[in-house]
Amino acid sequence: MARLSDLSAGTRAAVTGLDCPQFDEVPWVTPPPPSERVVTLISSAGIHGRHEPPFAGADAAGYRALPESTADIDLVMSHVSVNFDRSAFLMNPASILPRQLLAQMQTEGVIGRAADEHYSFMGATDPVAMEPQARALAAQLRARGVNTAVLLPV
Amino acid sequence: MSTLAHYLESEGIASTLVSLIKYQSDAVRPPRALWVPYELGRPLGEPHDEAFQRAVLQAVIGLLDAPAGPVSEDYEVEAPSTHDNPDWQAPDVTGAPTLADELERLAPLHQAYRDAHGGSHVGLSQLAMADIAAAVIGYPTGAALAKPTAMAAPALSELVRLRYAVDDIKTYYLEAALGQGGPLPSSRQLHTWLWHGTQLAAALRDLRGRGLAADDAKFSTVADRFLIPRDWR
Repeated sequence: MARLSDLSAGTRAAVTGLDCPQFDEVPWVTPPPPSERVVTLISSAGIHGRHEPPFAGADAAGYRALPESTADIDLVMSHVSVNFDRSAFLMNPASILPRQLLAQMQTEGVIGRAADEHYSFMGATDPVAMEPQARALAAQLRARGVNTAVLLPV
Repeated sequence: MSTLAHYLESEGIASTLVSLIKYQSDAVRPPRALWVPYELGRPLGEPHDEAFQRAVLQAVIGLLDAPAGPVSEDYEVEAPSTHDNPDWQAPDVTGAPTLADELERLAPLHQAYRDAHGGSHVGLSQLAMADIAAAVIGYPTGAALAKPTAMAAPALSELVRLRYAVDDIKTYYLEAALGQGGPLPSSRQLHTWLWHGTQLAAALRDLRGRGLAADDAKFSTVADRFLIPRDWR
């Protein structure tokens, strides 16, 4: 239950005590029409292939690519926080990275195309520290013809 | 995620996000945000319910159709798995005298999880479970964490390796509990079993205690904040 009132006092204090960046303006892109949307998923779960470097030290602010060739069972989670439920990921990795659902939406014509690569950041990182990597990812997405991102937290 | 969305949108990538903490997405004001009432760790609400997940995914993608922004909507569909499942039984590890015995009792269930899922999400530390158990029991003494691994990473500190080892053994326990098959538990049921009914919980609380009492400030910090969830200490 992610209503503040449903969180324990300690967790509520932790999430409301975080220093959230505030911006003067909200950027806005006119999205492509549904049939032209090339969609990638971006998770903050700190997941990566089991032989990929974990999110630690200097690598904590970066992102990992999650290609279709990495099966759900070969994902591991190196998120630093122990204060969220990880059992849904263990039951059903698609519940935090719904690659198959996105592919279905492509087949049904709901979106133009599902990207062949998705991504994960590690959400406990200071978001401002992620800026260079976020902008680098955007450049990579543009180069790959991806124009839309769905961001999924944990 | 809200800040990431801001950066991506400013670079020309249309972004839309699920928000689990409305307080945070309201503060940052990303271009498009769909608040959902699900627990942390469950952005699409229901594991193993594709229709439920699809509906959430469709709703968050649907925000891209808004003609102007910022867009902030609430998705008020509750997740049934919030409630405990009366048909779920916790694994019986009653009377296991040691952590090693408890691991032995759980081994068949963990194998069942591996058989059902084609593997396991254990492996972050790349240590054998026996070495992980030894580290939990003995740290900071012992050499379990010093064993070489094939970990494809820059050299990690011993405390980071400890954290990963603890993550691995907790993952092992949860996978074993899920390896029973049958009715799925709520997260509360799983964690109640793990933190109130196992030798592992006792061992981790002892480890945390050693850390809090240690002169090593880094060990104290890891022990305090990164081993046991806040709500289960």
